[in-house]
Amino acid sequence: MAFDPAKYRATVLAPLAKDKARTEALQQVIRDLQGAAGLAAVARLDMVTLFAVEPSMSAADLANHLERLVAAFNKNKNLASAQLLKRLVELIGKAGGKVSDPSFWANLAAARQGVLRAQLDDLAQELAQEFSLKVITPEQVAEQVASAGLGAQAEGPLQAALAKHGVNVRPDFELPKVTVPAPLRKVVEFPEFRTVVDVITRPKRLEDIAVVDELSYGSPARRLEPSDVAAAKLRLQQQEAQVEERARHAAQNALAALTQYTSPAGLHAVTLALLADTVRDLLGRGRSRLTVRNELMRRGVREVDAARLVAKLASSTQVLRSADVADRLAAGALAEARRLFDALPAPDGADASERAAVEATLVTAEKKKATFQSQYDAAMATRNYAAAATALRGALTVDTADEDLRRRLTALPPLPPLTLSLRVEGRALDVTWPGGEEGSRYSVVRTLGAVPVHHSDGEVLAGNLTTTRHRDPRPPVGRQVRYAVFVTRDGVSYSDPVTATAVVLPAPTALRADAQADAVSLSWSTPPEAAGVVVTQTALDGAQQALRPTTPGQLSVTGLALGTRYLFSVRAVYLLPGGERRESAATEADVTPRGVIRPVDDLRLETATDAGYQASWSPVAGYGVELWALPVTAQVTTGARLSFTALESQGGRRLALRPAQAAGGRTARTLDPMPDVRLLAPVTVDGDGGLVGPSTVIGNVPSVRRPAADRFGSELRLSWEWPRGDYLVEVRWSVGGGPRVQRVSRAGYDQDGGVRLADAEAVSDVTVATVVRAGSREWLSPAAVVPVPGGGTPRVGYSLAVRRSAFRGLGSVTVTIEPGPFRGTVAALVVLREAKFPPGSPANGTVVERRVVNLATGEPVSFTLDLGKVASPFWIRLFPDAGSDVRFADPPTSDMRG
Amino acid sequence: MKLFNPATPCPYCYTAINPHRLAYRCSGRHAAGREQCLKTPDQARITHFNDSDPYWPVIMPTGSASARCPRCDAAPGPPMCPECHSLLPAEYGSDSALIGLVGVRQSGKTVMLSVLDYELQNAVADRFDATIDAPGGRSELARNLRIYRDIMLKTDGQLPQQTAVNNSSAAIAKKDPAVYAWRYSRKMAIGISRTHSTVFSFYDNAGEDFATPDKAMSQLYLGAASGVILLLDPFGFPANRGRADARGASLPETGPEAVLDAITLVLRTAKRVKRNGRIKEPIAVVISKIDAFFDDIPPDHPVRRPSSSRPFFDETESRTVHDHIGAMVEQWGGGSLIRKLDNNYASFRLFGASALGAEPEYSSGRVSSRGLLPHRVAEPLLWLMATRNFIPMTGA
Repeated sequence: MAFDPAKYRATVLAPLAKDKARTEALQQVIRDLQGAAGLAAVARLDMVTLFAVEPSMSAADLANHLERLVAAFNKNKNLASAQLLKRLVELIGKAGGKVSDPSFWANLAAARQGVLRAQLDDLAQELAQEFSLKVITPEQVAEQVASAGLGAQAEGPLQAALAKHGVNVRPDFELPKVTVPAPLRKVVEFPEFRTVVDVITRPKRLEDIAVVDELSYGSPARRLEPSDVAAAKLRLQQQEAQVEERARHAAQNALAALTQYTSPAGLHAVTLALLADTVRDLLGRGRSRLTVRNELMRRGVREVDAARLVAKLASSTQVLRSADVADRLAAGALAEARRLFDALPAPDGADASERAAVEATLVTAEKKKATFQSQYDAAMATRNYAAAATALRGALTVDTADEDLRRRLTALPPLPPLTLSLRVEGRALDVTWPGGEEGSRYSVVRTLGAVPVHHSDGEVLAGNLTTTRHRDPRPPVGRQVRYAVFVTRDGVSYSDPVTATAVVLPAPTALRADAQADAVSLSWSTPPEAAGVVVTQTALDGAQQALRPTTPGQLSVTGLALGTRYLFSVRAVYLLPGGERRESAATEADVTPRGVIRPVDDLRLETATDAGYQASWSPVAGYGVELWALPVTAQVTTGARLSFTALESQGGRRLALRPAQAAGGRTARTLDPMPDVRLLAPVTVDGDGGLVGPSTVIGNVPSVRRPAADRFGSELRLSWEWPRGDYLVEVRWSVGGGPRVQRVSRAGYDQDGGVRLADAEAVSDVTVATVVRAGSREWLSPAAVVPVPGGGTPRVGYSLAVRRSAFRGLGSVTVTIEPGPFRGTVAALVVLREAKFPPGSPANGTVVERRVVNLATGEPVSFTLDLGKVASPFWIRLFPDAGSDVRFADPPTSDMRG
Repeated sequence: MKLFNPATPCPYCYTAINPHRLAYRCSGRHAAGREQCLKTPDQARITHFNDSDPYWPVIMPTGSASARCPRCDAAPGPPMCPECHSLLPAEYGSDSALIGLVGVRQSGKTVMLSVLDYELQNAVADRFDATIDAPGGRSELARNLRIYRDIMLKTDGQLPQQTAVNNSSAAIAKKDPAVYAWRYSRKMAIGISRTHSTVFSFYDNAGEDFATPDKAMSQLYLGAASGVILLLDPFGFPANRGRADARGASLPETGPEAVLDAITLVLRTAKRVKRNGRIKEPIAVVISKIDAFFDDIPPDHPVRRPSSSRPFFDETESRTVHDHIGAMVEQWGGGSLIRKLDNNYASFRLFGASALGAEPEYSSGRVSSRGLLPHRVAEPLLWLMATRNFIPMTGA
């Protein structure tokens, strides 16, 4: 079956990673494997399952399987189980385990069985000691198997091992939820009747009675049935004299009660319920579990059922002690503590002092509660609800379970908020108060002076508020106003009010200041309740001057200094009832008298002595002017107002200006030289931006650097270092006297590997210049002259006709020298090389001819040479002789080869 | 023999596969009434490329283009390699080529590939009026080559770092090659045009991988190569050591002959070449960094002439360059290398090329400030394509 990585992850790796016990077992095996135990340690693991090995796998299958396993481990390296298994398989290999050998796995499986048996036997022995009642449930077996790091398949063998150690595995059971009739409880108090069964079977006293799964006895099992009850009644009537009278009456009553159970199951249920109560009682009295089991056995209950019943109830039944009373007291459950204390069995010896201490604590707590209750009564008598609530809360800390205290606390009227804050916000007023207990609702009442006596005494601004804030949008102006807040829980009972007063004096609004060159016009608004305003003018030196406007809502202030900042504050004046004069808070504006803002429209630029520039312009009264440098492509409209952020977003930067000698009333500044071409814009500053004046282009277009021209055959390759930025480069050259021009972009340059000009020998006068374009305008850098490698040494062509006779191997060559444009005499060396490649230099072959050729006439010159016997392949190549200042252009090598 | 056994290497995993029996995935477009298949990680993708992305299931058994998905009855998707489950370009066929680019450390393989990648898709595509592109765009190498070129073109012009060494055969499989599909219309004899297409791929290895025959033997992909481009550093020849020192260029740790020996051993073994036989696969031997010798080469020398722009491979020009480069190599002390090539390879051709076109700043490892000015970079590949009769040849 093919290995399925996803299934392996789902069935092995993921469950193993989640199973802490099995993971620890695996880790222990890895440790032991590296220790003295060696490979034997591996047998403790279910290796076949862990590695998904199948018995039918051959060596090749195993090798392939393990390779895929390792891949699966690598893929699931986030799982600890995968890492551990990978480590395990590596260690097995190091320890000499042949994991690709099928016999290794077969031996491992056999060894595994022996180890598993020993492990289970040890575990069963330990469990036999742990479970002294010698009974255990299958669920507990499974739990023990899992905690021991064994697989689920080990549960069966463990049960068998437990049986050897006398431990019975029995399923858990439910205790019947039936009410046990009082006569049945009564009858077992008589020594004649150990259990209800004795009442039914009297005079027989049965032993080995099964009570858990069914009510039966003997072997084969005989179930007790309702008919047995009827028979018992009859026997009791017939044998009255044999039973003590009180016991007989109790038995008669019990049998009468049993007659209501008309099925064996009902009879079984009530019997088991009564036995369970007995067990609870015994365990509650601190008897040991074995003692209780033995007691049940003495009452005729089968041993295993007695053990099951005790084991079932032992975990849920506690013996109550004095410490439990102390716990209840600490938890504030006073009444329960008292009940528990009264129910405690009589102390025996050592417990007596503990009981006395607990009793003292209990009494103290009860006294404390009584004190609080007295305080509450006293507070209620004086309608001091706050004190009453405090007393009730105190009592509740002692006895938290006293619902009466809680009810009385709830019934108290709520307490008012501790404080009330009023804050005037313009024309409105905010009322805020701290929140009270959960579920409180609030009413806000406004009055003019008097404190409201209840929640509707005055102008109710809001009711049933769940928030602790209210805004009064139109409070009375110029009057003392009282605000009160009432609290209620139920809308019926309200707290006393918390109150505060305020006088609302709104400040003037809509203050506006318009500056002229030497004056300021102020305007504002005031509420109709205002009697007037007071305007205060504060100069830079702190001098103040009170101004009295003659026209309501406006004032013109003259005689101010141009460019000086002034602060104007305006306060509204109110006349309160009774004639008191009050001023509102001030509304302020600061203003600088200055001329009308305008852009700089007469910027002049001149070259300064330090290669920088001197800029000058007519000053704008009351405004500063900055110069900004922007890319030439930036869009700035003359006269437009642009923020500094907008200028920066276009790549602009504010220039550093230095003072310069001014003339003719103009402002003059110097600025540094520009590294490239920039748009210079004057900005008349107004707040966070300004008006932009006509811009000017300044600076230099950066030139290309290190231009070079290299010839490659008939091509001339131009290359250079590009300046930083987005530029074009204009290349100009001449071909035969005719001018040529080409513009290249950086992308085109990169694509073509430079600029390549054809007909290289005819190219001259090469220049390159950087081009900056902005819309339809453009600027060029100074042209850089590119030195063109000249023709240099004159070139002379030649052709060859190389021959070799097939039979004798005699070679010959006819050389034709073609002068081209060269005129003069050439000293040529004819070099022969018998090799795979042509000669690279005269020294690389044999000079077979030295010949001086006169090419003055421009006509080709031919000559033929006999080469003698030559080996194939051989090559003929011409080289200029020393002193001959020409170079030979070789023909195709196919012509040079013979 | 090819007629009966048309196995061709997959351009991604180099496994010889039958182009007529490819694998297909479920397209995910399930038939009405069927439940759609689920995408799951593909073990083949994980094994070959560490690709754990989820994919539609493979239609089994493989080999039929008309088979529908047995689970959801969906039509099959595009064809893919039955071994590595890589999508195969439409141009893939029995004439597809795997080209190995090998060379010693610092011989400029990665730079050469980066420039060649651009040249193929621009100058070469223009020259042959062809469409040459890297299909799929998933290839890490193809993507890196573009990044390298972009970095080299920036102002700082940093050359790519040394390619990481492959230490295991398993690791080789994790590097995917740069795959190209070439499609163009070829003029036939009587004015008829016919579309030709092919797929070829380059694999970029670290120079150290060929430092010794033992290491070279682990480069399994060479066994599937249908042609090899061998890059030799001219500074590795004895006569050029002084020139390298003068320029501050580092000398290669492995000599040209050593790397040739290693490749020859691999190819002889992989191709089962008889003792006295010669390797049939063509090998293009490229003397890289030829720009370092431009000072000594006259402007009209064949080695300095630019690549032709005509839509065919000029065999005469190529032979001329071959002969001149051969003469140069012999002068540099490489006669033994030539003899080894001659005795071991049925077809080899020498080239001189420069990916940078101008000498870099050797000390800082930066491209010339004038940018990338490549020279005859595509010629070796074009020769290999011409020997496969994929592009026309003249002058033969």
